[in-house]
This record gives sequence, C-alpha cells and structure tokens, in this order.
Amino acid sequence: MKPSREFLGNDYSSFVRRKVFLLIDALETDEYLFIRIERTRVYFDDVLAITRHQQRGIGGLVTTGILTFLFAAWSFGSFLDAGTPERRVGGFILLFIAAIFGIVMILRLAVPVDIISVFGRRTNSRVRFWLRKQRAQEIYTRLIEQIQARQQKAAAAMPPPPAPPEVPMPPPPPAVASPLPPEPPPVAP
Amino acid sequence: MAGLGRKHYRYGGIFCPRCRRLMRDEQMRNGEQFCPVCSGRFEAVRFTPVEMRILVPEIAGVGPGASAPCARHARNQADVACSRCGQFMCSLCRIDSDGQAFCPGCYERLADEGGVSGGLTKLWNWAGMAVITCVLSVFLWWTFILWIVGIVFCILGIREKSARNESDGVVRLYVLIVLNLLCGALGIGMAAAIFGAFKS
Repeated sequence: MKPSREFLGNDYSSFVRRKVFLLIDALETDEYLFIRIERTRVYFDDVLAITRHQQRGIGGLVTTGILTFLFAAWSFGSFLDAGTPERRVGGFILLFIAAIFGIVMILRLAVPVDIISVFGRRTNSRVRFWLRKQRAQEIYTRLIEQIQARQQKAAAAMPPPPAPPEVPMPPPPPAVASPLPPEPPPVAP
Repeated sequence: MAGLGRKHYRYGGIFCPRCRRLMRDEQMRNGEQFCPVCSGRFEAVRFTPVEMRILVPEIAGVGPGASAPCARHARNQADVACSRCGQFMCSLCRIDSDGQAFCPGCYERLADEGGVSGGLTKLWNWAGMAVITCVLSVFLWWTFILWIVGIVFCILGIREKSARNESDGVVRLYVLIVLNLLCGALGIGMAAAIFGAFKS
C-alpha cells in the first residue's frame, strides 16, 4: 500500500525539531515537543509565496567551534602532561574528537544550508537541506509545479459569480391632474 | 515542560526568510530579491490563490420536489449526504476530508476520535517517550518495569502509524523495541549478579 505522505526533510531550531512531509495537496509539518507532536499543514490552495535561500547557521558554527577548541585544548593538555602511554592514548582520542568537530565546522563554513520556505495564508513551513543541493533544487521546482497546478485547478473549479437579481423598477408616478390652477407665465417687465 | 525554550512566532503572513521581519504584499515579487530590512538575498515565487466562492442554491429556485433541503439550512438545496450519518447538507455545511464529505457534527466527532487524518493536530510522540523510558530503565534498572512500558509505547506507535498509513519512523520504533529489550536484559542481569553475590 502506498504511504499517505512522503518525507521531504527536516527543520531544526535550537530546541525544536520539525519533519516536513508532502501530501497530495499540502505540506504537513510535525513539530516534536517532548512527548507531544503538533501537526500543521500548508494547503497548496492557500500558498502565497515560496522562497529559497542559503545561509550558514551561526549557532552551529559557534557550537562546533567551541567544542573543537575545548577538545583540542584538553588533548594538548594531556600531551604536555603525558607521563604514561595511557595518557598519550587519551590525548590522541581527544584530538580525534576535536578533529571531527573541526571538520564539521569547516564543512558548515564551506557548504551553506539551503532553506525552502513556503508561506500560506494561515501557516508556513520550511525545510533545510545541507549537503543534498540537488534534492533541494528538485523539491523547490516540484513544489512550485504542484502549487501552480493545484491553484489553477482550484480557479477552474470555482463556480461563476451569481448573476445579480433582477430588481423591477418602480412604476412611474401616475399622471394625475393637479387640482391647483396652472401658474401664470411670468410677465415681462 | 512541552515546548521548553520554544519561540512562539505568531504567523502574520509573508516574512523575510532570513530576518523574519514581516513583508508587505507588494514587496514580494518573483525572482531574486533583497530584503529591505536585512538586505539578505533570496529567491522567491509569488502566487495569487483564488478566494473560495461557494455557490449555495436555494430550494425556492427549483421547488421542494426537485431537491432535498439541507438539514441545517432549510432554505438551501442539499448538495451531498454526509458520509458518516447520511444527513443531507448544503455547500455551507459540507466539510471535505480524506476524500469524503462530512457534516460539521460528524467531522468534529471524528476529529476528536482521530478518525480523520486531516483533523489531527496533536499526537503522542510515542518514539520520544520510548527513548525516555529506555534511558531511565538503565539508571533505574531495579524497577523492572520501565523497559516494558517502553515496548508498550513502541507497539502503540506502530499501531497508530499503520492505522494512519504512515511509513516514516516505523523502523525507529522497531529499533527502540530492541533497545528496550536490551535495557531489560541489562536490568535482569544486574539483579541476577547482585542476588548471586548475596547468595555466595
């Protein structure tokens, strides 16, 4: 049986993780909040705009930078104070961990994150792609096509505006003979 | 506890995807552009969704013999019958969800029960709870129950996923069952070791 939705990507912020899925007529976002999941949808009928941009997450850069520095400092401390071979091994392990964080930081600096944002009338949704640039482009194009198709379909299915009701004009006033005698024409001086 | 440290953005329409400042409608256009506030560059495609217009024909237009009246609006022609209760309803009452048309009462009831996928806005994070029980069962191994609770959470999650025909995250739930079983085995092993030590 075909699954009801297709996973597009994630959106991370400092404390919240979101997963974005593609439905036939909408984008569905599951926001994970500790033990609950909040689900919102952006219907393609309601989409006002879709944007795409690239950015380097400052938070991620700072975090990986700090971790690299801490582990590197700790490993150098172990090497300086290496009295036994065990301490030297420990220093190498710490240096390896620092190198991993350093590589992640360099990758974050070199490869910016692609972010696709979809703005609806009532809700919005966004997906991040870091290393899969091709997929980001593919999904951006696909979303534009699907939204356009859906909105064109909705416009075509819209019933024509109802014709204004025909309001009968009031009858003209009846020509009744005035009881008063007609005024005399003004006399020229 | 839920939503700890979470920023609540009140969505008020299109905003700059970089600085999140609200943008006026006329500021957003197709193609590459710059935010007037942060000068950030982004690519955009603008859409003009149609305003929904519902045509509600009145029963007076066709006569009572030609069409049934709506159960809630006696003056309106019935458009369709509710898929759940069969009540006639006009276009104003009709709610389309999951390929079916429901009357407002039935839709509300089904949404509360989780019967329509479109009406679900809050769900249990079974996988998250199973992770918590797995971690707790390592530290509180003498309780002997947390890992069982974790497995129950996973089974509930798998059942919910299959009921909604969602395939994402199912593998994760199976992995969590295995992890909870391992934590349980660890707890039993610890208990056996301690009792064994007491016996000897």
